[in-house]
Amino acid sequence: MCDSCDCGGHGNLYSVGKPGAAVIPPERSARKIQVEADVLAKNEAVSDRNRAWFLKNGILALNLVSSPGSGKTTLLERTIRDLSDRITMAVIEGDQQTSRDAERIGATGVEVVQVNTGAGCHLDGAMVHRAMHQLNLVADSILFIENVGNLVCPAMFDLGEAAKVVIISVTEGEDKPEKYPQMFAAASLCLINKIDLLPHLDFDVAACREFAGQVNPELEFIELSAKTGEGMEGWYNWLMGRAGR
Amino acid sequence: MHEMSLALSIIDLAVEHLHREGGSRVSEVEIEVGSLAGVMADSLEFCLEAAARSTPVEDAEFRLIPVMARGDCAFCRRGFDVDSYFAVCPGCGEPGLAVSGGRELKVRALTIED
Repeated sequence: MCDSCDCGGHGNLYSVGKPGAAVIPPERSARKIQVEADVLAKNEAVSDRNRAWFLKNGILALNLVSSPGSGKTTLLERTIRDLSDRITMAVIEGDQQTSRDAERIGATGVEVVQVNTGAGCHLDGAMVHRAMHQLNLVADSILFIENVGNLVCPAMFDLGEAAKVVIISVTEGEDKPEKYPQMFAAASLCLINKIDLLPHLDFDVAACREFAGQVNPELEFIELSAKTGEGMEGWYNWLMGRAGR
Repeated sequence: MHEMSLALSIIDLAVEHLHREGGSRVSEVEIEVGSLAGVMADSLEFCLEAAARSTPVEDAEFRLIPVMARGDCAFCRRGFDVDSYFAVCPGCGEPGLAVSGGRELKVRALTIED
């Protein structure tokens, strides 16, 4: 019996005719299946494993995101030099090309691994997982993950971090949070960098905070200059607090 | 251009389900795209066609189904669709809405041919 039309079976279609005669092909049947699968689920599964490992080992993993040129690497260099006698730190450097940033960070004496994404515009959970294997991560430490300079794509990809820190410099427009709301919605802390340049610029700090606050009322802000050191103590207090020190 | 890696994940998902279900090719893929998911529909479509090349999903039709986020106004209690983080209530003009949903990016269904 054929399931679809009660005809008694289509099997004989294949046995009729002489050898070599044309065989009538079966009709192609199509069926629709419900999948309901989250496209980012695989990345999230890997990132959840990263997160569980960080938690178990008391490692504060932070995903640092910004536009290119916001001063992330300079901020990290200073942070590492200033905090190295208080806590152990390590760095994963994400860039499309070159190991220049990793060399700068390596000069501070901490463990660092460079991840080149090639054509990719963001890090993902698996890249961070591989990088974790290349680092000698110790318990009760901070792992800074410097994402590819891009305010769009990294917002969607969880890496297993405890928090995203978005860095904006005052040489950019104060309307960045309005233009790239996704990133500001996903972040826990916003660092406003290069405030030593404020006297020379029209950047409106209050407006920037207001735009970002509309997208994410929970977002915290710290204004600082990684060059002069102004405001860095607030950032260090935030870090040590999150690290449970 | 994170749409390319999303497109590759979608094609992987479709091929995986095709193998699990048994069949020769996928002729249609239904994808739900939330209005606040941060995904450009045009860009995703372009990338899907490129990512599907030389796979059993190659000739599939990709149907992108928009899913709107919902905003609820605390002042006039009105509910409405939202497609921006800066939406204001169309009734009373208040910002600061409670926004829910609209972040999804899901493969909803596949049509598989034997």
